[in-house]
Amino acid sequence: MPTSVRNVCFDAVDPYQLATFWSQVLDQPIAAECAPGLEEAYLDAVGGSSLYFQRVPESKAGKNRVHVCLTPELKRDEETERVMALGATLVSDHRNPDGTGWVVLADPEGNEFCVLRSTAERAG
Amino acid sequence: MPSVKQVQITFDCAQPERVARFWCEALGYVVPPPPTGFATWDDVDRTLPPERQGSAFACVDPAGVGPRLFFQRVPEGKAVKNRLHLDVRVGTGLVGAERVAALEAECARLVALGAVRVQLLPADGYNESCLVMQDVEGNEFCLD
Repeated sequence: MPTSVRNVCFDAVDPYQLATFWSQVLDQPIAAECAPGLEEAYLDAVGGSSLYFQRVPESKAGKNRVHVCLTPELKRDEETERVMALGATLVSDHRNPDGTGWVVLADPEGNEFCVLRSTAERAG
Repeated sequence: MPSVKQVQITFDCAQPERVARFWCEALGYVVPPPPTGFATWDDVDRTLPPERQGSAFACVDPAGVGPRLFFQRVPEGKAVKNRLHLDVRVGTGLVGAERVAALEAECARLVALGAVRVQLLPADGYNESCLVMQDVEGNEFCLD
């Protein structure tokens, strides 16, 4: 039987709040059965897989060894500004003067993620 | 304006190609073809400066549905439990003993490929059973 990636699962202190941030980043709704205060929250499918957030007792310790990279529809710099307005914070800026490179941001619970160039920017 | 995006999952690794090859076997993913003008990724690698050779590898869902996985070499080893992990769909729609049997069968296949069985989390009345494993570099994932 073929397998597939069902979820990308995030440990979270506040699953619904973190799901709300990622829902806005990805423009994907939170599943209707989820609500604040529950142990889990998740988005409807993203690229065939869902983002899933589960409450854990411990908070984040150290840099994540697995992270999400986004290839936006918007230009990289516009997307960076948009997600920072949603509550992301800058971790490190790897943008180059020639237009290449990426930005490392952190979500509201400190999970690192990257904003890459859009497909159009890469093609250009 | 809605901003539809492509999502990629990136793993920090000691040996990117080794971890990528494991996930290809686990998920039925494939290594994308090398750029035009190169017969193999090894040929591409040989054009890189020595410090960048073997530093990254990728695999993709041939059906174009699941996220691209990217593996990058980092100097540090894994120190704590990952705060992000993949849930691998194995027993969808199955319940009870039939589901556990499907999870254990897939677990046995992946252990033969170098993965480690961590523990079975039995169904608790809210969630169905799932089986926690680690890949060849200790990255946690669940058979779900």
